[in-house]
Amino acid sequence: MSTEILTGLVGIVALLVLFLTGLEMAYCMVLVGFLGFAALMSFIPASNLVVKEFFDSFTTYSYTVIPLFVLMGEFASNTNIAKRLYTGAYKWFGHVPGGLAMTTVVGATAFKAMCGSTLATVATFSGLAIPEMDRFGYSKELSAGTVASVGTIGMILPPSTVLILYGLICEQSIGRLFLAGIIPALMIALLFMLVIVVWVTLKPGIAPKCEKSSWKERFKVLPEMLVVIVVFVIVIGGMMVGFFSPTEAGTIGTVAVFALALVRREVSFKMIKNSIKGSLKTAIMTLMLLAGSSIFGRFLTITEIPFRAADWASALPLPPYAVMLAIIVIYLVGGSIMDDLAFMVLATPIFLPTALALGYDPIWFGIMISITLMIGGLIPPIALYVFITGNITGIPFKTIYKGVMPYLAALVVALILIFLFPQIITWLPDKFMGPL
Amino acid sequence: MKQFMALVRRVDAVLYVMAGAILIGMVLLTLVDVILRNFGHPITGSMEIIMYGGAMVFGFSIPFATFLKAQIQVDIIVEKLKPKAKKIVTIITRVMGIAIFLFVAYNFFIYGFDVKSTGETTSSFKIPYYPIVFALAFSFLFQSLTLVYDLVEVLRGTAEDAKEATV
Repeated sequence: MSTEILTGLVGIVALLVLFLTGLEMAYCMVLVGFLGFAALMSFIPASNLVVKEFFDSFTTYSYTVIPLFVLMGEFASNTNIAKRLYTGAYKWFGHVPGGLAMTTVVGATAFKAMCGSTLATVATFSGLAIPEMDRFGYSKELSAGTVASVGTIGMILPPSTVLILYGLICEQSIGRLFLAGIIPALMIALLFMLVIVVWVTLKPGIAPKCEKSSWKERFKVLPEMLVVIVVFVIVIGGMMVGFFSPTEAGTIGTVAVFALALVRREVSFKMIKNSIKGSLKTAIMTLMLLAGSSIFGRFLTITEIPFRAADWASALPLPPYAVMLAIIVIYLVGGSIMDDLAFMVLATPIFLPTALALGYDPIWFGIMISITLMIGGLIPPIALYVFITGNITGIPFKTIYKGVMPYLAALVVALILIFLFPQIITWLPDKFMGPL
Repeated sequence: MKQFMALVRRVDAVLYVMAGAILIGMVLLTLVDVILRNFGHPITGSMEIIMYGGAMVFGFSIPFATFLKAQIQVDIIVEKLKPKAKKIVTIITRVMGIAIFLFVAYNFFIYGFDVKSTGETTSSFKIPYYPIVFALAFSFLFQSLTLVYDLVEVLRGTAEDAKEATV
C-alpha cells in the first residue's frame, strides 16, 4: 500500500474519530485536510491550501444561491403560508378516510415547494397538523409518523438545500437537479398517501372521518394553493428555461414570498429579523461545510483514494447494481448517524467517481443518495425528523418510530422503483434540458 | 475578562447585522438587475458585486453563528459522558477550534498583504480583492475570540445555561 493511500486511510479514520469528540464537523474536515496535506506535501502548501479553499468558497458567485434560497424558505416559515396551505388541503381531502393525514402530506409538500428547509417543514407541521389530528381523534402513531416522514420529501423537492449542495460539490447543474427531483418527490408523496389509504382501511379506528366541505368552500381556497404553484413555476421554471441563474431564482422567490406576505399584512420587523437571522445561520453552516469539504477533498485527491476506489469497484466481479447497493447502504448508515448535509458533503467526493466509473448518471446518483438520506433521517440512532417531531409535540419517540415504519416501507419501494426505472429521475431534465 | 466578553459579543452582533444588511442589498441588486435586463439595460458587473457581497455575508456571519450553535456537531458520544469527562472533551475541542481559526486568520492576514502588493482586482469594476481578504481575516480572528468566549463559559460552567443568542 502506498504512503499516499495509507495517509488517506489514516485521515479518514482520524476524521471519523474527531467527529465523535463533538468538534464541529466543518472544523474537523479543515483540520484533517490540512494535516493530511501537510504530511504528504509540506506545511507551507497546506497553509496556502486552507486560505485558498476558504477564499474560493467565500467568493464563488454560485454559492450566493445558498442564503437566497434559504431566505425564501425563512420568509415562508415565518408567515402563515403553511397554515393557509393546510387549511386549503383540508377542504379538499379532509372528509376522506385518513383525510387529515393526507392533508398533511399535500400541505407539507406544497409548503416545501416554497420553503427550502426540510427541518422547518417538519417543525411547522408538527405544531400545525398534529394538534388538528389530535382534535379529530387520530392515533398518535398516524399523526406523528406522517408529519415526521413527510418533511423528508423536501430533500428532493426543489428548492432543496441538499440538491443545491450536491450540485455545488459535484459541479452539476442545480436546475437539472431540481427538475430531476420533481417526479420522484411527487411519486413519494403519492406513495405516502397510498400508505395512509391502506393503513386506514386496515385499521379504520385510527382516523375518524372529518366534516365534508362544500364544493364552493373547496374552490374558495384554491387560489391559496395556486399561488404556491405560480411561485414554484416562476422560480423553478425561470431557472429551467435559462431566464434566471440559480442565484437570481432564489432572489425572485424571496421577493415573491415576501410580496405575498406583504399583501396579506404578515410582514413585521420581527418576521424580517428572524428570517434574515435564520437564513444567515443556515447559510454559514452550509458554507463552512463546503469549505471544510473542499479542503478535505483536496487532501483526498492527492491520496488518490477516490480514483483507486473507483477503479477497484469497477474491476470487481460484481454487477454495477451490487456496488451501488453497497454505496447506498453506506449512505444509509452514515445518514442515520450524522446530519444528512454533512454526510453528503463528506461521502460524495469519495463515492461519486465510483458511481461514474460504473456508468451511473451523476444526476440520478444525486437523487438516489438524497432518498437514501431521507430514509437515514427516519431511522435510529439519529432519526432527526423523529426527534424534532417528538421534541415539539411531546409524543414519545417509540410511538413516532412505530408511525414512521409504513412510510419507511414506501421510501424503500420508491428507492427500488428508481433503481429499476432510472427514467423516473432523468426523464424530466432530459426532456427540458436535453440529455446529459 | 467581562469587558473582553462583552466586546466580542458586541462585535460579533454588529458583524451579523452587517451581513444581514448586505444580504438584503444583494436581493435588491439582483432584483433590479433582472428587471433592467428585461428592458435591455442589465447592470454591468452585477455578478462581481454579488460575489463581493456574498463573501461579506458569509464572512461576517461566522462569529455570531457560533453563538447560535449553527455548526453541525456529532454529540451522541459526548452527551453520554459524565459531566466532568464531558467538560474536559469540550475544553479540548474548544481549544482546537481556537487554534484552527487563529491559524486561518493569521494566514488570511498574510494573504491580504500579498494580494494588496500584487494589486489584484475584479475584472469589470476593478474592485481590489484585498479588502475582502482582510475582512475575512478579521472575521476569522473574531471567530477564534468567540471560541475563547465559549471556552470561558465552559470553564465557568455557564455554557449549558446559555440562552439563545439575540442580535
